[in-house]
Amino acid sequence: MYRIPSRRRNKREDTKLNLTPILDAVFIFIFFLLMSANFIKIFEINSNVPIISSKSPPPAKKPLALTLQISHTNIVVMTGIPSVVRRSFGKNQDGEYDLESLHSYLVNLKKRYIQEDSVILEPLVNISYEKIVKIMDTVRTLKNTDDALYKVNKSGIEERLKLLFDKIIFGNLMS
Amino acid sequence: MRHRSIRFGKMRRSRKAVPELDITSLLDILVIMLVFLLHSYNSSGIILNVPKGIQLPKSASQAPNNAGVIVQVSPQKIWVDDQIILDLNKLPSRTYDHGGRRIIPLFNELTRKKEMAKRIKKGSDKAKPFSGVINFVIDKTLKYNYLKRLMYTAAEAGYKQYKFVVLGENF
Repeated sequence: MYRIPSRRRNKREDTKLNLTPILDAVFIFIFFLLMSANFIKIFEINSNVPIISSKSPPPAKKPLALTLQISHTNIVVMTGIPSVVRRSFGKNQDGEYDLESLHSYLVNLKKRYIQEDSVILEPLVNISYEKIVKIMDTVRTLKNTDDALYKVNKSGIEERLKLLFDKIIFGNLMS
Repeated sequence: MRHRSIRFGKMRRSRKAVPELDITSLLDILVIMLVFLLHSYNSSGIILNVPKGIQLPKSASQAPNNAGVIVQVSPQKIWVDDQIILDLNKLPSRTYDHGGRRIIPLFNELTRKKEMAKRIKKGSDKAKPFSGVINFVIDKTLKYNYLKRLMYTAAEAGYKQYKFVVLGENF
């Protein structure tokens, strides 16, 4: 048989939390965030001014000197000093540069030259800024679907790379 | 009898409990709003103004913006820190030099900004030194030849780091 519940217990009133100060703080927080909210996400792509140096590179280290020459019909990938043509990427059926193939090629190149992060862009034609940004994206970003690339940092720990060749220089700026 | 009923009536009224507001749903809304605002919060603290006539290109970049001189370029106008310095409809007598590669009004304004930053640094140790950073807010339809002129002019004025301002891909 069940016992009849005590009346004394039932008489106890529930203690209610005073939410007023919390609500005040939340409201102030919301106003502050509304004032500083950025509804359009704006980012940046970094590029440096090319510096011409008369110094020869260190003999033990051969620089990759990755250069992309952009023409009307294709993008030519060159490496080394003096530059040697490695590969050329034409346009696809839509008339756009085959950036997917270029990206895969650059990922493979990065695997071999993991320490390199510079790329020289040389647009030889008067293409639009939008297309240049697309090419810069292809060259500098690593997608989630790409193979994971690791680099040993200064403290000797392997860290996963987030970017491909992110130091972009416009080679023909001064010409 | 009548007096008594009034008295009892008063007593009944005073016993009425104060109605409590159920704020659960309001709190739900506030929490959702808070999460959304925290997600869209810009911690860089840089305010970039995109003037009318400029359509930014979309990019996969996730790099936050840096402080520096802001150069906004539309097909018709050039602004430096929101001030018009060149209107292609009202061209000054001399606009380009260095074989058409340098934009004179832009060069003059950028040099003035650089000198001002250096003067402020001289006057106060707490002031930030001249960074040489230039933020380009450029219309996506502009061509590379024009872009090259802008970059050349900035380099000539002593700005060594270009930051191309782009729109996040999901927006």
